[in-house]
Amino acid sequence: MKKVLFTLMITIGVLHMSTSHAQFVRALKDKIKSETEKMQKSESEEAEPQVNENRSATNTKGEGLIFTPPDVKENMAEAEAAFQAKNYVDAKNAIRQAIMGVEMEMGQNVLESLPENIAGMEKDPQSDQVSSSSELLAGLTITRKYVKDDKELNITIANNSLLIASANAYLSNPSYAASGSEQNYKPVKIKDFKGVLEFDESSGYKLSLPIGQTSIVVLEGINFQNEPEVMTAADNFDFDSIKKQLGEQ
Amino acid sequence: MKTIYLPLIFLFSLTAIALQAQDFSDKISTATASYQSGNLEDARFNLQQALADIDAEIGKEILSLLPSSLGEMASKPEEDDYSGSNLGFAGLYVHRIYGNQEQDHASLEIITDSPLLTGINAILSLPTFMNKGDENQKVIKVENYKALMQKTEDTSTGATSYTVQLPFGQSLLTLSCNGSFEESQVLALTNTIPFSQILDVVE
Repeated sequence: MKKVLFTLMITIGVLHMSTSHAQFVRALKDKIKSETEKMQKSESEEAEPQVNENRSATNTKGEGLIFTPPDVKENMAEAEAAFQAKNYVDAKNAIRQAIMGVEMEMGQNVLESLPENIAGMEKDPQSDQVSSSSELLAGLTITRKYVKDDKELNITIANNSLLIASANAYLSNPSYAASGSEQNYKPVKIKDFKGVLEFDESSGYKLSLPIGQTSIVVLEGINFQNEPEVMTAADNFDFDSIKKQLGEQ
Repeated sequence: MKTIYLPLIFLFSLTAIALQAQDFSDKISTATASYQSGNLEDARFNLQQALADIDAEIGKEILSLLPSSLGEMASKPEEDDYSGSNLGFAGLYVHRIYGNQEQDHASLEIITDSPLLTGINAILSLPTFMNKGDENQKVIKVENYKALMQKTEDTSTGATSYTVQLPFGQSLLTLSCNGSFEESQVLALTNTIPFSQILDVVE
């Protein structure tokens, strides 16, 4: 009897375990299936653009535009031909393109001559920029950024712009350059160049340095400790060389 | 004697035109040589000078298209003016005067490549401007181009003057009529100016 009972108990136990096992396996299978479905859904969502309620896609791709500097020689030849044919509009456009090409080269040369690092801060290659409008109002602009932790130094060089002539006249005005304890700007001199140093608590230090008739260098120091630190950083630039490369006297 | 003068004048004009073209070619050659030798600033300078030459040619051509008289007001060729400054805010400037200062007189100015156009175009694009606003300003149409007409009255003399500003492409034409003009007169004078031909030259 005991034997039968024992056997019956074992049988019931095995059956129960089987059932549990089956349930466990079934539950496990369901879980796997559910997780697989979730993964598949997530992958398909990544492959397709996000669609908002109004069914318009959000752009998440694209490498931007490809910019090729104008061919200077080609444009000069085109300008000559157009002028001789009395096609003045085409001649004008070609000359403008040629000027832009020349300025882009000038700007690129200046950019390559700037230091790779300043006072422990490395240049940010992504921020290097040369832009030319081929018109005297905006002219040529060259920018570079140096970064280390939260400290940043931005250099902007502007050339051949009428706006600079006004700015330079303003910066050399004695009344603007006068210093006082309550003013947040003062005249400074760095490597024989006279300029103005400003400080603002929200934007940091700004050094504006005219380097010729139509050129100016603007250095913006963010999170610099003090004035001497800014001036030391500025001292790393060869302003004479920049001036010569821009054709200034 | 007349038979000698006319060919001489013609020959002189041809020479002047040839010299202008030569001037431009010289600048392009100098710019090319400077560029090839790596003197980029010199190349740029010569290109800018060449640009001024082109503007001068365009200015001359525009003047040749403008009417020699507006209504009963004759032009004064000796006071014709044009300049190509290739400055970003001004571009090419052409100016002609009609009539005498003491009587009804007018002036015609054309500026090309000017950012000054922005303000005028903003006004012309306002749909409500056509119906309301300053009674001394209204939008008119000339050869299918929208223009802004403004009236000024001199209370001391009683004279009424009108200004019509018409932007077309990247250019702005301004016709100023000073004296005792009526609106209909000014509209009629405006319609004698060949905008389409001028546009072909500048655009």
